[in-house]
Amino acid sequence: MLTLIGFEALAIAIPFMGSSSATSLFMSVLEYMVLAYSINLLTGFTGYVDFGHVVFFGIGAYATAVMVQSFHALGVNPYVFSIAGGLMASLFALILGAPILKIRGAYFAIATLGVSEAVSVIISNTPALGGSYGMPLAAYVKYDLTSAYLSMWILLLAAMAVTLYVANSKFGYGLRAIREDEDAAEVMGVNTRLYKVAAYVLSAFFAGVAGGIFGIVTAYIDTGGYFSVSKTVEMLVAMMLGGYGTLLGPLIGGFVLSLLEYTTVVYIANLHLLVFGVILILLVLFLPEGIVGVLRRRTRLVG
Amino acid sequence: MAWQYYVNNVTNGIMVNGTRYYVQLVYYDDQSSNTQVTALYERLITQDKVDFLFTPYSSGLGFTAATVAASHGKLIVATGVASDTIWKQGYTNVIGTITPASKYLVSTIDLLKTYDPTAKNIAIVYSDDIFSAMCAAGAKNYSLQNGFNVVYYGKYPSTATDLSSVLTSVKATNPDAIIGGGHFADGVLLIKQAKQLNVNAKLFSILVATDEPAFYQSLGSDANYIMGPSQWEPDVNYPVSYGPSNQWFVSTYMKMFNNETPTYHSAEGFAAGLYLQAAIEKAQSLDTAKVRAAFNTLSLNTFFGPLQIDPATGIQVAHQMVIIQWQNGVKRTVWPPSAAVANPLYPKPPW
Repeated sequence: MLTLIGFEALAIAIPFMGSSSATSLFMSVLEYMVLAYSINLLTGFTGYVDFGHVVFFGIGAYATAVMVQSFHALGVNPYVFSIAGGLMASLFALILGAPILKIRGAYFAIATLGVSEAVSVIISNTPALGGSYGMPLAAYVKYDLTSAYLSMWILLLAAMAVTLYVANSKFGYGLRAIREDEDAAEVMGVNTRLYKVAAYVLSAFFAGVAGGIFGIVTAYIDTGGYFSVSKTVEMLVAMMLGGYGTLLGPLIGGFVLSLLEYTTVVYIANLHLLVFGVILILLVLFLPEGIVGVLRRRTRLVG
Repeated sequence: MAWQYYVNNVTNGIMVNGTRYYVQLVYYDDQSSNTQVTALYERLITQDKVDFLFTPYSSGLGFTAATVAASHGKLIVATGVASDTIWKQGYTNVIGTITPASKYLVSTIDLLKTYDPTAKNIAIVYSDDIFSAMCAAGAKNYSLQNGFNVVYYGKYPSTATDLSSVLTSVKATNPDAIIGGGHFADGVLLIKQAKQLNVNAKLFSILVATDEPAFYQSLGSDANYIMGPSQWEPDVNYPVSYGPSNQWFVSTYMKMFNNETPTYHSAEGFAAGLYLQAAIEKAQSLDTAKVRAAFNTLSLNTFFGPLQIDPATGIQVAHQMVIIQWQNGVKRTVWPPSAAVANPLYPKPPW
């Protein structure tokens, strides 16, 4: 625990050590972690594989951008508006949740993918949201990596706290019961519909806030970047890599995946996708329970 | 990369105050992701300590890179960024190389005016996406300024599979020229259906689609006479007062990259490097402020065409689109006269 606190103190100090490239790198590490926690709350706990999770990231970014455009004159730190992005994403999950969570398995995965693409197309045809040319924000916000970085940290700690709570609550047991056998869970008295929607709404919030924070940092959002399917895949991979449905899995998975990606991009310029792909295949083949699963088995053996 | 080769092997570096500087390009794959762009440009600036930056491809990623560059007081030369809006955000550190979207169709109107002083009526039809809309709005303004009547100005959904109702309305206005379009599929459809419905005009100029070899493959001889704008073509023939000739660029590029003919993307990348090189030579310094000031008074004639920026914003004002026309199955540059290799075939005979 102490080492964990030490590590966090060190990480939080990064922006104050003067290297903005280190700050921006760790920003994307935090992003992966938060998004992995976000999808873990739904997919990790209930087993509903969400292939359109990026829709919440995108909605959060757009809602935040609209807030920034409308209220930048108030002079508050723009990162505050990312909370509105999270709430908007949750609202969308609430409306969408009841119908879409009735579908199970592969059908659910395909439906969520469809929803995400549909929202993206609707936005790129809405002139008020910049249409296919996106929304530039540079005129309203100052480029402020430190604020962005600290906002991401707050978000990460909140996501961890919520996951910790869920993992040890009746709610969390209910979600796991749904994952193991939804019909049995229902017979046992779990309000499966309510539980699933609640998990969906919670997970949407974190992705939404993350989208908002990134929208402000990149000073420009468009549907291509903020609704890309590959972002959903990254979230799923980070979660699986760390260990799904666990407390520390998304943290470890997000950390390893983001650094792996960055390292391959920087040092193996043109081959990075290939190398990255091979590493992922190996991980999935040999670490099906994720890194946390392996650690657990080790400690059990040792213990 | 071709530019790096040019500086280091042909001009033997960039001479600044008696010292020769050689170009070292540092580049990463941004995976078309804004979040990667932030991290990678931060890395370029603070870790790799580059002196000057180029934008990534596309306006969206360009915004993000420009924001990071501005926060570090770095100069960034834009290439592959066509949106006018980037120069309306208050950045002063972004230098434009290519013609912005609002001027994409302007050369077509110049051509029409020159070849047919009696032409009066222009119909503009465009795909409903922001890029095409910007091009169309720019064309409308310019037509009106030059005394033309815009007899039809209308859009169609970017995914349209039937343009007959739009074309029927266009036909009723009996235009001299029909310009607009959007993307590949709708551009081809526009011409196909114009023929079916016997919609005639003396000039057709269609965005994006006409530039592709597949345009002729899809339409066959119906593609003849159709024109379209392009940033650059391998056959352009500008008078060059700075940098290599067009022929040198095309043949060197093909030698370096497996005999592939360069597209305008490659040409604009090379032009951006060349533009920066000229500014550094003029400033006789690697200092950002001095090089930025040198850009203000720099006016070049390159293989890519003339280059000059608006001093206040950095937007490109001199470079103009070339117009290509399909002539007997061959795509030829017909405008501007300084770059043309053939005369435009005008007017287009009825279908």
